[in-house]
Amino acid sequence: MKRKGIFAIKLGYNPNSSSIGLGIRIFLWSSLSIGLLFAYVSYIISRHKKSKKKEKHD
Amino acid sequence: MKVRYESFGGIIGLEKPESLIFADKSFMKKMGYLHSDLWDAKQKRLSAPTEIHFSLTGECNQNCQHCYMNSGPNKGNEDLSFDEVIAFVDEVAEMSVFHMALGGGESLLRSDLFEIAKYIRKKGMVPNLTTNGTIMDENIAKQCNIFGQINISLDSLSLSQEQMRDTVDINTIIKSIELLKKKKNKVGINSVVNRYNFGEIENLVQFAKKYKLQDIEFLRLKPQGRGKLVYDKYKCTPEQHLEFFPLLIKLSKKYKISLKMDCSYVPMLCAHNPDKKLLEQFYIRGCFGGDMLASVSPSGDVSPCSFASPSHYKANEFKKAWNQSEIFKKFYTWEEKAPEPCRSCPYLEISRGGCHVVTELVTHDFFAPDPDCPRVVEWRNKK
Repeated sequence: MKRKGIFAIKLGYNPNSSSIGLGIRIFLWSSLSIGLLFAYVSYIISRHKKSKKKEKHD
Repeated sequence: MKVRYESFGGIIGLEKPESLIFADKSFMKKMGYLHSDLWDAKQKRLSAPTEIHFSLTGECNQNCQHCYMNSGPNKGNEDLSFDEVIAFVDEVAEMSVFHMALGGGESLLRSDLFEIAKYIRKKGMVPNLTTNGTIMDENIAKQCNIFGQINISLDSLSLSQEQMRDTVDINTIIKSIELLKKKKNKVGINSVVNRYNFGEIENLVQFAKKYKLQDIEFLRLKPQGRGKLVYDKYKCTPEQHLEFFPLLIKLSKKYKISLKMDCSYVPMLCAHNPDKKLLEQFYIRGCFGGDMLASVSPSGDVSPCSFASPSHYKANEFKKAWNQSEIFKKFYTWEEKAPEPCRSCPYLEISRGGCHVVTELVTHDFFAPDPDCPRVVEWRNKK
């Protein structure tokens, strides 16, 4: 079953101009690390939203 | 932060951390993105690619045996002009593409490369660069700050006779890496794997670790361009294909460095029964052609990916190509016509039938299974 909210993250840039690279390190992460990553990304996005709201009011 | 609506909700592009975030409608609404017509549409396919692979020139100062672009000296005379490039950048910016991977040939040979890269940034996209690492000085390294990341092509540290790439003194590559890093660039390596350099993968990883590189991306050899002529001689064996993913896991653990495999290797990954939920969480898929990805050649031909045959559309009709090209449609609807053993494969939705370019060029049947997929090899052997 898909996660709710943020359901997928594609990490990193792809400087390879011929195909899309897929990171292997995710296979070494624990469920806790993955959960923390999703929470962190959600936090970053909400911070962006707050600073956008603040700019609008200023 | 850049946001684009999709039928499932939306995609959010971040630069810190560098990522694309796939969110559902409720998350988008929480972020203040309240509605899009796309939310009422039933399409599964993305509204636009997330990245474009743009070969800016056919010109190259190398003449590698396996070059899928057939690049080389004096091959830049069909390159798009600066104005044509800019018009294309404008069109894909309107479609909210997130990233552009620039290459060639050797795009550092284009005198307007950095102007193009600056314009891509100005239009809200992140340019990234692939280079052969032979053209580098302090000034160029400083200008490379415009890129998200720069990857240098390097298949081997040794100068063996079986090397497909043109002979380049490794010290030239090291100097380029050092210059780029001195100017605070993110640097990685692109490495095409073949049966003769397979045994050197660990050496390459050690090299990347030693020079503190961002990552190494390992690419499967494709029988395209000049690659067609060397494919049978150089392609990995079935045993190497099966060994590849466990090897990368082992090396990633040992050297604590980010390793990547290109999308055409997903069948080799799926052969090891990875956790499907994990693959979905990190949007790991096989063929992205005509979905997350589209490509433009130096002369402006638009394709679902850099290795695929071009559509009948040129760069100035990119949106039309995306929406109407039958060649694009073949790629993103492949699963609907999946043959066995793919149809019954638990990883069909993830692997998407593997690399359709390899399949078409080797079997002459676009809708056949990937001939190098270990599950396909096993299925054929049982038959």
